Amino acid sequence: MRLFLTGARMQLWLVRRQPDDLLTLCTIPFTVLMLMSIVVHSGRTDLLANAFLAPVLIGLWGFATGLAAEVLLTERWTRSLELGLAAPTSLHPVYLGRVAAVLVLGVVPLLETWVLGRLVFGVTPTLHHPGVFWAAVGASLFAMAGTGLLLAAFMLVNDNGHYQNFLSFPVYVLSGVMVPVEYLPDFLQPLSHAVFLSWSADLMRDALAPAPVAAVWWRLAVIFALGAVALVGGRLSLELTLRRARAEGSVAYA
Amino acid sequence: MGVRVREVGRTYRKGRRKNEEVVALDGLSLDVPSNEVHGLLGPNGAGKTTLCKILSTVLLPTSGTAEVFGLDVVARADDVRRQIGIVFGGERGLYWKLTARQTLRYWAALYKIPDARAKGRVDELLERLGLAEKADDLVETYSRGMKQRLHLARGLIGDPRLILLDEPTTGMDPVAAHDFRGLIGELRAEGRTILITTHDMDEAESVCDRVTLIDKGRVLATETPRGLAEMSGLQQWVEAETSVDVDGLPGVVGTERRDGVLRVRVVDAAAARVVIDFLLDRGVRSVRAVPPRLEDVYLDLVGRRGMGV
Amino acid sequence: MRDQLRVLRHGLVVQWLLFRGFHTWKTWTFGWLSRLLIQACFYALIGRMLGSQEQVDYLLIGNLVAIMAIDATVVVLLAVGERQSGTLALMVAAPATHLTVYLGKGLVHLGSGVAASTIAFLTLPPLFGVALPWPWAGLVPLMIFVVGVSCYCYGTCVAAFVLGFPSARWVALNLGYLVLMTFTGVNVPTSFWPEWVRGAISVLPMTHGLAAIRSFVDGGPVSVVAGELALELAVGAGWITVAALGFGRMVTRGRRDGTIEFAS
Repeated sequence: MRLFLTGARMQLWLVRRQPDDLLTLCTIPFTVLMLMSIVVHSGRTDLLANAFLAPVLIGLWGFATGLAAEVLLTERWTRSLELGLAAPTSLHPVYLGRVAAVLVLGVVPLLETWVLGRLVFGVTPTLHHPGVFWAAVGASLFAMAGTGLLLAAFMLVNDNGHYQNFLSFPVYVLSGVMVPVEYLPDFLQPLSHAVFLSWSADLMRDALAPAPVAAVWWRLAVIFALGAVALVGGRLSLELTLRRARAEGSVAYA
Repeated sequence: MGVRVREVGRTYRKGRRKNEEVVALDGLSLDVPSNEVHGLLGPNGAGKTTLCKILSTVLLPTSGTAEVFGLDVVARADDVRRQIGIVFGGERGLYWKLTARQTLRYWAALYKIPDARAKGRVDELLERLGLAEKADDLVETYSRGMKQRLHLARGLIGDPRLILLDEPTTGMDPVAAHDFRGLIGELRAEGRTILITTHDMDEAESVCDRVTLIDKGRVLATETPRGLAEMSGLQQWVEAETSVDVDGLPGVVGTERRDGVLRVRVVDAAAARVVIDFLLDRGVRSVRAVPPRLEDVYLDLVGRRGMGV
Repeated sequence: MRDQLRVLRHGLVVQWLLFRGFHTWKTWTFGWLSRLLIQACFYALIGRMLGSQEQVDYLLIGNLVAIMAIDATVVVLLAVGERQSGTLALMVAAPATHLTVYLGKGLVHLGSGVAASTIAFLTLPPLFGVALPWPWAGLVPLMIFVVGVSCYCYGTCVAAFVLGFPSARWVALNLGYLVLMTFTGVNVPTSFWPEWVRGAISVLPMTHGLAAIRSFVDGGPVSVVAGELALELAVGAGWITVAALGFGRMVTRGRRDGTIEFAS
C-alpha cells in the first residue's frame, strides 16, 4: 500500500511539472463544444445525455491511455525502469499507484463538461438515477485503472508509439461513448462488448434517463469483471515483460 | 583582427519570477588575430559557451561590443553568419535519421551554397574527414568519433573564416583526439581563425597559439601556453633518475619519488639551477628542469573548484 | 530568391527523409491514416444517430476536410523537434532565413494531410451513402489542397509561438486544430455561433475553404466557390505574414534571453 501511495504521489508531482500531460483537460472543452453544438443544432435534445457523457468518458480514456501508458514509456527513456528493476521491492504497486493517480484527475472532465454545458448551452442533464450513475463512475474508474496497466504493459513491448493513436477514435467508435453500439455495423458489435467502456457508457446513459435502469448489478459486475481481467492481464504481462527484459538485458535504450 | 570583444557583459534572468540575475560575462575583452588558434579555458560556468554563443549570433550581449572580422555580431549578424562555422562536442545537433551526405547537403543549402558547388564541397569534406566510406549510412549508426567528425564537416561546410569549437573533443577516444589536433593544424594552414573552448589542458597546450583563462565571466590572462606558465610565477620541477637526497638544498619546497624518479619542487629557476648542479656534481646523468604545465597554471589561477563541477 | 527556393527544397528533402525514418508506408497507413479515417467515421456516425442523411452528409464532408487541419498543424512539433535535436542554435546561426526552412520542412506534413484527406474523400462517402457530383467532385482534392495551404500557414504561425514555449507544444498543437474543428463549420454551420465569435471565425483557415467545398458539392454557383477559395487563400496569406513576424520575434527573443541552447 505504501508503494502504491508512493507511485501516486510521484505521478501527481510529475504532472504538475509537465503541463503537456494535462493536455486532456485542455482538449475536453472542445470535445464538449463540438458534440453539444451538433446535438443542440440538430434540435435533438433527447440526445443531450450522449453529448454530456461522451466528453467525460473520452476524457477518462484519454487520461488513462495518454498518461498511464506514457508513464512507462518515458520511464524507460529515463532509464529509471532499470533502477526500478534493481530496487528490492516489486514494481507493480508503484506503477499501479501512478496509474491510479492519473485516474483521480480523470474525474475533472466530468466537472468541466457540466460547467461548460451550463455556461455555454444553458443545459445540464438531470440525474434520474444518481446512485446508479456514481456506481457506474466508480466501476469505470476501477476498470480504467486495470485497462491502463494492460495498455502500459502492451506499450512496453510495442514501443514505437505509432499505434498509440489507435487508442483514441477507434475505441470511441467501438465503445459507443457518443453513438450507441447499435448504430455500428453488425460485425463490430460483439467486439464492442469486450470493451468495458461500452458498458459504462450504456449504464451511465440509462442513469441519466427517466426510465428505470434494468439489470444494474449485472452490468456493474461486467464493468468490474472486465476491469479485473485487464488488471490481472496487465500485471501478468508487465511481469513477463520485465522478467524477459531482465534476462535479455533489453531494458534501457542506450 | 579575427575576433574583437570589448567589455562584453551578459546576464541571464533566472528563478521562478525571473528575478534572479546571473552574470555569465562580466565586461570581458578579448582579441584574437586572424589565423590564430585561440583556446578558451575555464571551469564550467566561467562563460566560455556564452561567449561562443554571442560570437555565433545566437545570443545578444547585454552590454559591450563584439566583432568578427570587423563585423558587429549584433548589427551585422547576417554577414557574421556567413563567416563562421560552429562545431559542438557531444552527440546533439545532428539528425540521427539522416546520412552524413544528406546532413551536409542540407546544411550546404542553409549556407546558401548552390547545389552544383555543394555536391563537390560535400564530397571533399567527407573525404577529408574520413567519412567517405560511411557517407550513406545513417548517423545513428556512427561511433562517437564519427559523429564528431561529421560535426566538424558540418561546421566547415560554409567555408568559414572563423571556426568556433565548443568542447569539440568531448568523448573522443585518444586516437580520434590526436587526428583532431592534426586537423586543427591543417585548418590554420588554410588561413582560418579558430576559437576553441576546452577542459583538456594537454589539448590546449598542443594546438593553441594562445590561450585565454576565463573565470566568472572575466579574463584572468591571455598568453601563449608556455608564456602563461612562465608568467604565472609557479614553481618549477626538477626531475632526475636518482636516489640522492636533496631535501636540505635552498629553494627546495618538496620532493616526491615515483618509479625511481625523483621529482623536486623548487621556488624558481635559480633554485632549479642549484638543484641541477648539485645532482650533476654527484654523477647523476638524467636531470632536467620541467616548467609548470598549463594544467598546473590553470589549477593555480582558477583553483580546484572548477574540476568535476 | 534562388537561395530561398533551394533552402525550401532542401528543407523538404530532409524532412521527407526524417519522416521516412519515422513512418513506413505501413505505419502511416495503419497507424495514422486509419485513425484519421475513423475519426471522420465517428462524426458521420453521429449524423446517423441524429437520424437524417443531411446530417450525415454535413458531418462527413466537414470532417473529411478537417483531417487536413490535423496534419497541417503537426508542423507545430517541428519547431520543438529542432530544439530537441539540438539543431536550433545551428539553424539560427546559419545564413538562411528560419521561416523558409520551416516552410520547406512543413511541406511534408502538408503533403501527408492532402493525401489523407483525399483518400478519405474517395473512400468514406460511399460507406455512408453520401452522394457526390462525379466527375466534377474530382476537383475537390484541389480545394482540399487550398485549405491545406492555409491551415499550414496557420500551423506555422502557431509553431512560431511554440518556438518560444517548447513545453506547450502538445497543448498548442491540439488547441490549434481543435479550434478549427470546433468553429470553422466542420460540425455545425458557423452561423450557429454568436455574432462576436463569427468575426474571429472568418479569419480562421478552413472556414472559407470548407464553405467553398460544401457549396461546390451542393452544386452552388462557381462565383461563390471561387470567391470563398480566394478568401481562404487570403486568410492563409495573413497567417503566414503573422508567422514571419512571429518567427523573427521569437528568434530575437531567444537571442535576447538566452534560451537558444548550444547542444553541449
